[in-house]
Amino acid sequence: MAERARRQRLIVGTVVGLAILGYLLWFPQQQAPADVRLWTTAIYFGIAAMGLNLLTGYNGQVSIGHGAFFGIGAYTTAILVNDHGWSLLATIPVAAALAFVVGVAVGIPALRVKGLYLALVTLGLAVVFPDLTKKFVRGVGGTNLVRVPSASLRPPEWMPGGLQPDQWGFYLALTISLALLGGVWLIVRGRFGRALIAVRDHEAAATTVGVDLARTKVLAFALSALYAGVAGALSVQVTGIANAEKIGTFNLSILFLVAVVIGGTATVFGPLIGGFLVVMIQEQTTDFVADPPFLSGFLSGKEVLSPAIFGIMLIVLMYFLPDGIVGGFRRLLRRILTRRQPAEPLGASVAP
Amino acid sequence: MTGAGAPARLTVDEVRVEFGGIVALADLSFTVEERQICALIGPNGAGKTTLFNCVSRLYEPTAGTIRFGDTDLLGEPAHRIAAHGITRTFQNLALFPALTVLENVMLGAHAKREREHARRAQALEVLERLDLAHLASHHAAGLPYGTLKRVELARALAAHPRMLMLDEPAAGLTHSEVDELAELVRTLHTELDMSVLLVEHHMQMVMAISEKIVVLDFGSKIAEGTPTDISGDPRVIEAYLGHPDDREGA
Ligand SMILES: Nc1ncnc2c1ncn2[C@@H]1O[C@H](COP(=O)(O)OP(=O)(O)O)[C@@H](O)[C@H]1O
Ligand SMILES: [Mg+2]
Repeated sequence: MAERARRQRLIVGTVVGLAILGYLLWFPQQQAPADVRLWTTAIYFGIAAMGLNLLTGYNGQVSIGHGAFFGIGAYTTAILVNDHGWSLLATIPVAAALAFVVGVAVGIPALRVKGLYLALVTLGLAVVFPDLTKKFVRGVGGTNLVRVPSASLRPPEWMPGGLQPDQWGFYLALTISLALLGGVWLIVRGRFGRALIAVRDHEAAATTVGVDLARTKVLAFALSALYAGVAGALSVQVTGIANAEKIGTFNLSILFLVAVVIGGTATVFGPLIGGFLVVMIQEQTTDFVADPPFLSGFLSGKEVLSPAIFGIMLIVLMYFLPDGIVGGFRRLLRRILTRRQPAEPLGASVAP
Repeated sequence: MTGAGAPARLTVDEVRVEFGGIVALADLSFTVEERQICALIGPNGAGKTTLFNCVSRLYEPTAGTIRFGDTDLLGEPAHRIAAHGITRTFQNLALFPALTVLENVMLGAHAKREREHARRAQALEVLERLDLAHLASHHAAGLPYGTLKRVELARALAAHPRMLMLDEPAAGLTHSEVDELAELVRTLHTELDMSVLLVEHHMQMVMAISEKIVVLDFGSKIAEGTPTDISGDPRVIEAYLGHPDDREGA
């Protein structure tokens, strides 16, 4: 019974996955560059959310500071490309490694705090990061904004097909996101993934079976930082700049967390979907407010409304899908499958 | 199923634990000989779980030593205790509800350096032995209490321990389940070649399977001996067996 349900799920998953992949491969060929860049943004948001999900969803450590690791990735790439003439592609592993190392450095002292306190400490990270860049980065006109030459956004020479920069960026982000998705999949199904969950659910029991709490937590922190760093590096391909502002870094940190939650915490695909939704909803609400179709006579400082509408949409979403998109989808699938196989005791497998 | 390392003697020497003003363990000394089934009994609050937590390195004694064979356990970090062959269950279930039964048991062998499929095969073998194989892919959350206690036992056995510590394994079980458990512990003890340190209120089970009983009261050892010695000891009867409330946890 369970075997059959699993096979059905696998078939449905494969078909849906291939359809989505096919659509994504076709997408940049047909769409305007601005839309392609928007979707690329959605992909790198998904990457950052995937990493944060390892930390927050699977390991139970809440961070509202991952915008800082994103920034580290973005600055690493922008500075190496602009000041040292690297190809953007080559900077991505460096950005990843640097974010990982800083993740270890932050993760070790973060071991001392938990829950809300950890959230506050990581918040501090997001707040301090823009100041640090202002101090140490020499960008355009002495500011902390680093702009890369537009030529550096073109695909490398060995790349066939005469892709435009936006198309190249899309395929690059897509490829990397699939590799990193595979990474999450392997981690979650393996020994380390079990340790992450064990630490989240019962520290004492995890310790007695031999899980090194400190090592597991720091590694989770560093891995999630690595994902955020890669996302930051990819953002340079889309925007052409690295620029950390106080509000921006904080906002990003919150949005990553929102993406994890609406996609589905502790699910493999959830954060990618959540990242996509966050970017799309944001885009829609900003558009809407920039040109409010029915409120134009009443409001002038319109950007103020964007977060409010965004927030309302999130609340509505969470009301209907408390366990995220993936959780809701699973329940739907289960209902369809159990209707055909009433003997399956699936109701028992709901975690508290 | 075969044991990995040979059992070793556990030596608890002058171990003291204080919480604020409360002395949970007052310079406690006793040994669990290799391959022995030793019971640790005493009224609620006597310090039994505290002793387990010291051996597991979850609590830090203020004084004393705990040795397992030649190893000074108090010099080891908590997560290394399993690698030395000491595993345990908890008085209040401590499973990982979001994971499947199989994954829970595989975590029991987390400390072993081996390939994932070997760990899986071994966990399945333990589940088979405890008649839990059919639940392998079930999530731990939602299973009946008695089953969960078995799953926790399976998790503690997955690493083939040299010493198994059971904290009130019979609590909450029905009478027939307790009899089954007593039999199971006895056979596993020889099958797996391990020592067992048992904390239990269910005196019938304690008397039936223990080779040695250590009686605690207010963190101190008040008696020690074979089941026959203990059941006749007037101090034990007064401190422990005398209170009908404490006689059976269930
Ligand atoms: N973490 C703790 N903090 C404070 N007091 C504790 C803690 N653990 C145990 N105690 C106290 O130590 C004493 C012994 O408790 P415990 O070892 O749980 O007893 P038992 O397992 O024999 O019932 C009790 O007075 C208990 O309240
Ligand atoms: Mg106790």
